[in-house]
Amino acid sequence: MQSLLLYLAVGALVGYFLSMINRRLGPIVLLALSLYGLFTLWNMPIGSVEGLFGFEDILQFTALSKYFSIITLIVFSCYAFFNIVWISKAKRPHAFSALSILTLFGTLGVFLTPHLIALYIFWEIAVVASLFIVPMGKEESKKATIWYIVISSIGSYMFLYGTFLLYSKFGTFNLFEISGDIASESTGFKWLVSLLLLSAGIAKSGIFPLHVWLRNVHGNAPDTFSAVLSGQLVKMGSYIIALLLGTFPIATMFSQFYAGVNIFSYVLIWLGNISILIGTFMAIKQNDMKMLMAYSTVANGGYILIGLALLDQVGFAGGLFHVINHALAATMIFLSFAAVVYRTGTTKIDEMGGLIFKMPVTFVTYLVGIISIAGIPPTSGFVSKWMIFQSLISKGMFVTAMFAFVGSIGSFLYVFRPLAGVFLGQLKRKDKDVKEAPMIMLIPMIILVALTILWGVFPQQVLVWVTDVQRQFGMEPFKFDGTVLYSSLGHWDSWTVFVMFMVGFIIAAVIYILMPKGKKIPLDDQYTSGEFLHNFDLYHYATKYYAFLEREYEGHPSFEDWYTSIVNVLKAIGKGVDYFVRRTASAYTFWMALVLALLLWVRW
Amino acid sequence: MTALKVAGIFLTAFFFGLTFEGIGRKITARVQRRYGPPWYQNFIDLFKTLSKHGYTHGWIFDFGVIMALGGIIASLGFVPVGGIVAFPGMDNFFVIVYLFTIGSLGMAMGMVGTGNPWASIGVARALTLMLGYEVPYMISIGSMLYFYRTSSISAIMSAQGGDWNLVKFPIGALVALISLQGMLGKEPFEAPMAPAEIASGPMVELSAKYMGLLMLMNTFMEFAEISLFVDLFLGGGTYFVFLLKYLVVWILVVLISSVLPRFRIEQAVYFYWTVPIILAFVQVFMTVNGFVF
Amino acid sequence: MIALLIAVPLAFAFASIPHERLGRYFLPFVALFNLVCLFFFMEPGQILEVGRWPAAYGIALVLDNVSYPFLIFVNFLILMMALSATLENRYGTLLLVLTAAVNGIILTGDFFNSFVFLEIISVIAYIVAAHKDNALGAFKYLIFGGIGGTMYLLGAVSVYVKSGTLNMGYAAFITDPLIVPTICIFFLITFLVELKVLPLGLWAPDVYSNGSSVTPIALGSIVTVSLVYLFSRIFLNIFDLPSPQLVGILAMISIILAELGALKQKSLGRALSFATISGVSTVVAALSMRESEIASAAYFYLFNDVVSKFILFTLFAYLGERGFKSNKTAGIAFTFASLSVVGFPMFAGFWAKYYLLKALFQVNSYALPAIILIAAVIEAGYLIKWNVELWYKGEDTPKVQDGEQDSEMENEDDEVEEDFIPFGAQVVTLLLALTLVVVGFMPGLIHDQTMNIANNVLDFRPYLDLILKGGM
Repeated sequence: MQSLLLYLAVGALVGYFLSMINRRLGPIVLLALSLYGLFTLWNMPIGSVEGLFGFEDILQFTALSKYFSIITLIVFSCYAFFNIVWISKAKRPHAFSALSILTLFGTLGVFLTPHLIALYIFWEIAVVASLFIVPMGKEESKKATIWYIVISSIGSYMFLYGTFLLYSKFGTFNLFEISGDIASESTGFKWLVSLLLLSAGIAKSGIFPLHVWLRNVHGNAPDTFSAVLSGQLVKMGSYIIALLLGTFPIATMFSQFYAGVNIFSYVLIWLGNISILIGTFMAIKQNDMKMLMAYSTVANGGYILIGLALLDQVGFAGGLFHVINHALAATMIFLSFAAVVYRTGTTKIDEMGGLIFKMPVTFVTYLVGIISIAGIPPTSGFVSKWMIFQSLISKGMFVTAMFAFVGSIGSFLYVFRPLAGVFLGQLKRKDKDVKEAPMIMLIPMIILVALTILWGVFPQQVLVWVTDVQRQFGMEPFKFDGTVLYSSLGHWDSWTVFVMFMVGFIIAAVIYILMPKGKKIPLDDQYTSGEFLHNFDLYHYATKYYAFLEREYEGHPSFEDWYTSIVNVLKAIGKGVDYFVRRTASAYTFWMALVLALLLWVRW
Repeated sequence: MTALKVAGIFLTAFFFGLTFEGIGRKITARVQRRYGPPWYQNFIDLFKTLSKHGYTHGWIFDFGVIMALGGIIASLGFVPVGGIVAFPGMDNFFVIVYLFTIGSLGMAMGMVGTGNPWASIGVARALTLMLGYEVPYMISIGSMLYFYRTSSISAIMSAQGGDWNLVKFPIGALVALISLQGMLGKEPFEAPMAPAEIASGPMVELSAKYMGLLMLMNTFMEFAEISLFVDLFLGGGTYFVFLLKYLVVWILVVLISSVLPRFRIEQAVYFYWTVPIILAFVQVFMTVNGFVF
Repeated sequence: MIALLIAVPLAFAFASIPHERLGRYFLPFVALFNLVCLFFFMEPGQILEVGRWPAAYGIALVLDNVSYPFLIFVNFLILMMALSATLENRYGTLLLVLTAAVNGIILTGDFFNSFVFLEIISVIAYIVAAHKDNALGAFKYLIFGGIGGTMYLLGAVSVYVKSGTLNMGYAAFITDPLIVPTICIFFLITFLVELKVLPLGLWAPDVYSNGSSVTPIALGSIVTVSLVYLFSRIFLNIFDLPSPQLVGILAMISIILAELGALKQKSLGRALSFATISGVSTVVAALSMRESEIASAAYFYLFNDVVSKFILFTLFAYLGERGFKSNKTAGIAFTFASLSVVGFPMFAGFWAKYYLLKALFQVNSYALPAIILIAAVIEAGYLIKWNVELWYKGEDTPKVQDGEQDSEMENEDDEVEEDFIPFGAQVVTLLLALTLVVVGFMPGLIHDQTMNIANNVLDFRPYLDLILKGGM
């Protein structure tokens, strides 16, 4: 671990200078480091303890560390691979490569230490590194950066405050040591500390009410980096949430509220519910494909939070599984978007169309990604959704279950929108010469597709990791046997489902082939209700795709506006201060000093 | 053994699904004071369409149609039909519901892949409607799952014993019935397929073989959905008892659809999000507190 | 020997009068000379009684464990400024006098002497503040500073009336509970003005934002450090702080209001000035707690704030708001400095905040940490905004600046075509930025020093021993 972190820290500088020779060397350095990290950490035994920079025993490799590090390194490897070609379009390739490596350094550091201050340091390094990559994207990304840093700082500084509160009470920064003592504190203190520490996770994973930054930041950041932001950096937040929920442990710290769920978790679950609602319905409205997926991240963050907060055999495992599902799916989807933008230059859905015939592999990546996010078998997305649903129904938490269903079904709606608007439909004349993305870009996408389907049919490997984490926190581990997954309400076999799927597919294919072949006609030979069209660019339904649904909730309150108005209030106060500064000094000053002296005289 | 059972289910769905559809057409016609086609009309339609070559707009269209039919067949394999249960214990409710969505997704993908905006509009409406009917459906079934402490369809089927869930969970059954109407795409929730309004929506570019395949998919889907309802609320039963119950539910659905006009899509979604959801939660409240008849 | 620190700069100041530009060449040498003397020829624990008159009757210059590090730091800053600032005619002379006065105010152990040096500093400050046609700002500062100076004089006079001596050490023995708070209030007002605690620090934005490479550094860094020393000496060592809660609350309000004031600014210079106000108010708030760990952290914070603001103001003076496109190294220095101000790891600022928060929580003070962190959030907001704007300038269509207060600077921008930073400034800013990073990795370097200072300042015995030499 220690050597990995050192290599990464040095690698940032190395990458910067190498990329001045040839800009493709930067991502290659990142790829090499990620693969090295993946190899090292895959084989490292759980429970190893190392020191760093002379600090003893500051790095600890727990089961949770392993799980999250592996997810991170998979995402970063694919990102680096993809970048080898994409970096030719990056605005500042040297800084981009160096800061990407630094981001990886920060994130891995967060996963590897239970020392709260060291964790905070690594956290902020990751934040600062990613902070300076975001403005390299579109024009609006500069304002987005401010949202990012402010909300992230709110979370981090609340975390810092909570850390010092704990330190003043217990004299140590090591989370595992604290967790032993905290149960005996007063309820108010427990609530305060838990909320303070968790808010870093909440801000980072984009849960309501700190979700407003996701849309602009993920939507406007450089295209491949959006994959890292959505697929990996928000998982840092989920890591903190999982760590704190499991270590404290929240399950026993607060009183039971409903069906075995304690009241603090219940509050978190409701935050998750609202996030799902907001994420889903906002995503349905978006016309920009990256902002749409950014809202999807909000919704999925809500799922993860619900799963984690349930803190039981099935639900917690479901939440953890959903982390890897969303990481893979978001990466896939954003990388496919990056490929599309690489070729067409726009992210607006209604400016594209019919790209499937030009970019089939990209389409397949996107398709598998959305199948995973929607939670459809046989991809891995279904496994985690199933676990969460089972857990919710077995506890009788029907309101949350309703939100979960809404999120799941709503996700069909919003993921279908780019599919229909970008890949299917009429090919615009300006896109006639668009080619498929270069091979190097296709390879990581194909790898991710393979992983999603592999873990959907054979989820054992991931379940092993997940159950290790559950055992680390002293929970009853999820029960599974080969490909059969058990819960208190029933079981199913992922292999059987896959086989049935193939059987059905083969039957349909057989019938299809036996029957006479269809004649291929061009895309603009359509049923046009008797009209004669010459411009088929306009014959593409993509603008305001769900207009009828959007109308139903048009007058919704906007949290971005609410936050902006708070900022405006603060700015108004600042303006007031500035006003005082600009007055001429003379009588004003004399007054001020005299009054102050009088006050002090009386006051002491 | 399992393969035989699965084959049995498919053949049942094929023959009786098409037959009942024909009967349904007859009944609709009689209600609307016409003579109507013979009961075997759907078989004729199917074989006629399958025997002609059609037109295709590209590989995604073909793939979508195959995926649609394949997905439905896959999900049908899990549904207990009559006395035939292919995967006892493993026919998890959520698995079946999500397998349906493969079919829907395949169909949606293929249809939109034709490049016709009518298809896109129809699919957009279909997905929106799905957001409407799935939520109350899942909630009310969820309360049943909670009550029986299992999410296996066959287990619920056998746990009913002599008492049908229709009697035990009347409000839940009502909600499921309303959702069923939406799932089947029958009036008043026919907006996605609106024939004259959006030129049949998703089916606008379908011809010959493709039309036949999708008709088959439609039949299987109806069969699976109504079978699910019969299993969950009417206690399944042996082969012919099952088919009788199926017929009753089917005739009820057809009767309702033959006299009602079509809701606009936002009216439909708005409706689903008010009345059925409230009813579903009433049912949940009753179940959780033990008010089961 | 100690007196050389004051005498030499003064002598060179006089020597530089005949020729206009001579002063600026003398300045770095004088600063270097001072540093060399301090490092090699002097040790803490000395006292010089001027004119051989015993301390109670005359002026005593005291070099103890508290004034020694401060002297080193101040002279170091003067050296840096000499290398980086663009000094116009006669400014060299002024700054040499400033050097003498600043050294004097740190060394002196006599109230009236410190008042004299304070006035010298003020006079120089008013002139320096008027750099780059900033007469109005300088005038406002003059008014505020004049009141401050008068208050200080009143305090010094009261001390004399009450105790019969002007020596700080002897004055420590006044214990009349009616008089001491009054004296302290007089002094307090001076410090509130000079240390820019709102509402008495309202002069700072107008003065610091004049776009000069001399003013904010000479006043904001050098003078502020010496006055923090004096504040510590008087209120932590000699007297007690009157109503520390009130001072603390005033400082906390100042922190927040200054940060909010910075939020709205369209000019980088004003934003930075507000940030300076906030930074020094934090130091004051922390010092008012009168606890050694907190005071040590406060000095660390001062170190970080002063060094970072040095970099930021210098770069602002030379680059205006033109961006870093052709000055990558300047940009990196700017970014490092702003990250250090906000308190991101691994910069010095993080450790400053860390030690401060740790020490505050140890004494169960919960409000100040919250205020510091809230201020940090706001700071992060506008500093990162400025960073992003400056790094990515020129990639968007040029925006038209509001003409609120930029009239002084816009004239310069129109004339200068190239982004020219003098070599000295580049070296200095880069050096200081690297210092921030080095301290960020090894905070012990500075932290040990500040712990030393804090322990010595709160313990009045060594100081009094030095002055009283064992007896009254």
